[in-house]
Amino acid sequence: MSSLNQDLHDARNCRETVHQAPARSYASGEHCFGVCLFGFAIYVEAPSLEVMELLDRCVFPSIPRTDIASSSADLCLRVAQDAHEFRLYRDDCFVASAPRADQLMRDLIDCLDRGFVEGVRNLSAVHAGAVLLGDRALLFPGASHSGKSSLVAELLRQGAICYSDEYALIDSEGLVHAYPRPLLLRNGGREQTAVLPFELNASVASSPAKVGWIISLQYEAEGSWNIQEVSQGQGLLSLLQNTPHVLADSPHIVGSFRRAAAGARCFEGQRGDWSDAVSRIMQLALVA
Amino acid sequence: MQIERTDSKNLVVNGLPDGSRVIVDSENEKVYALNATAGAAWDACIGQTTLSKVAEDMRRIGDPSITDEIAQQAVLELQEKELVKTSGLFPKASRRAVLAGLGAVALPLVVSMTMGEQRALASEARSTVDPSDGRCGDRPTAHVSHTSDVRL
Repeated sequence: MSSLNQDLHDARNCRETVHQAPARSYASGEHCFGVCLFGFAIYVEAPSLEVMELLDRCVFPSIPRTDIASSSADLCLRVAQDAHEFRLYRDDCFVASAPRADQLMRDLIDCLDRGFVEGVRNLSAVHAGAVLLGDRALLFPGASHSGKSSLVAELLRQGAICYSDEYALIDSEGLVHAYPRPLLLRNGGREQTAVLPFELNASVASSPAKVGWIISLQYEAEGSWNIQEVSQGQGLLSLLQNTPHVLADSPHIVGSFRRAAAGARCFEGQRGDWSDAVSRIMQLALVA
Repeated sequence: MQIERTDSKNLVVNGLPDGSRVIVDSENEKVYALNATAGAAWDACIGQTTLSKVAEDMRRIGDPSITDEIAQQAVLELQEKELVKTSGLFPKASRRAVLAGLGAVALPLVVSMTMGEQRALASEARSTVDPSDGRCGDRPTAHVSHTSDVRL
C-alpha cells in the first residue's frame, strides 16, 4: 500500500475509533461553506463568523463557494471551540488544538494540501512553485525550504500569473493547473504569512498551460546563479523526485509528466539570493 | 565484443522530443533518465550488436558527428547502470579522445533512481509537517503547532 493510500486508510480507520469529534456546541452548519476544485469537494465548518473568515481565506479563496453536505464531501475540515481552546478536525479526526483559531491555520492548510493530493482524481501533483509567464508555465520543483514561495511571490510582483507556491497540478495531457491556496511566505524565521496573489497585484491562472520551463534549483546561501540545461528526461526525473505520488502505485504519472516535460526546456543548478534568481529566470524566459 | 541489453521483461521506455529517454524498470524497481546521446546508444543496442555497429547506428539515428569514442562512453554508461551487458574488452579510449569527439554532442549521461528512493521522496514532497500524521488511533493530545505558525 502506498504511503498516501496508507494515510488514507489510517484516516478512514480513525473515524471508527473512539476519537470522534465531540458533540457540537453550536448549530450545525451555522458557519460553513463548501468548495469544489477539480471534482474534489470540501466542506468547511467554523464555530463563529470570525473563525469562518479565517477559514475562508485559507481554503481556495478564489474558488466560488457552493453548498456541499458534510456527508458527501471528500474532505471535511472543522474548527470547534470550547471554553478553553479551538480544535481542528479533519474528517472528524482530531488534528490539533490551540488557544487561538489563527494558530490552527497552518495545520488546516496542511490538512487541505494532504487531503486534496490524496483524493483528487485525474491530476498529478508536483511539489513545485509554478507561475505563468507569457503562455507557458514555469515550474521549479524543490524540497521544502528551497525558496519556492519566495520565488513565486517575486515573480508575481514582476507580472507573472500564479499557479501555486506548493503544487503544480498536471493533467493527463501534461498541462498545468492552478492549486489556488494562499502562498505561505516565511519572514526569515519559522513563522509563515498567508498571502493571496491579489495582494501582490497578481491573479490566479484560470486556465491550464503547457510547461515551458522546468528549473530545479538548490539554494546555496553563499552561492551564485549557476545552472545548466539538462535533458527533458532529467526534467521528467525531477518531477518524479518531487511528486507526492508513489510511482510504484501510480505508474500513470510517468505519462502525464512525460507530456509535461516534452515541451519544456529543463535546467538544474544552484541559486543564491532570490532576487538575483528571479531576474535570471525572467531573462531565461524572455530569451526562449 | 558483443553488446546486448540486459534481460528485463518489464521495461517501459518513454521517449522525449529532445532524444532523451526515461526508462521505468518495474522488475528491478528503478527509473533511468538517459540524455539524447545515451538514448541513441540504448536504441542502437537492439539485439546482439558490436561497438562499431552501435556507433554506426547512433550516427544514423542520432547525431552524424558521434564518434566511436562517444559511442563507447555511452555503452559504458549503460553498462554501469546495468542496462546493457557486454562480453569482451573495450578498446581503450582516452578521456582526451572522448572529449575531442564531443563538439555539439553531449556526453552520454544516465541518471537513475530506485523506486524506494522515489517512495521516500514522495513522502516528503510537501512543505509542511503533518502535526498528527493523521493517526487518530493515538490518544489525542492537545498541542499547538509551534514549528510553523501562520499569520493571517
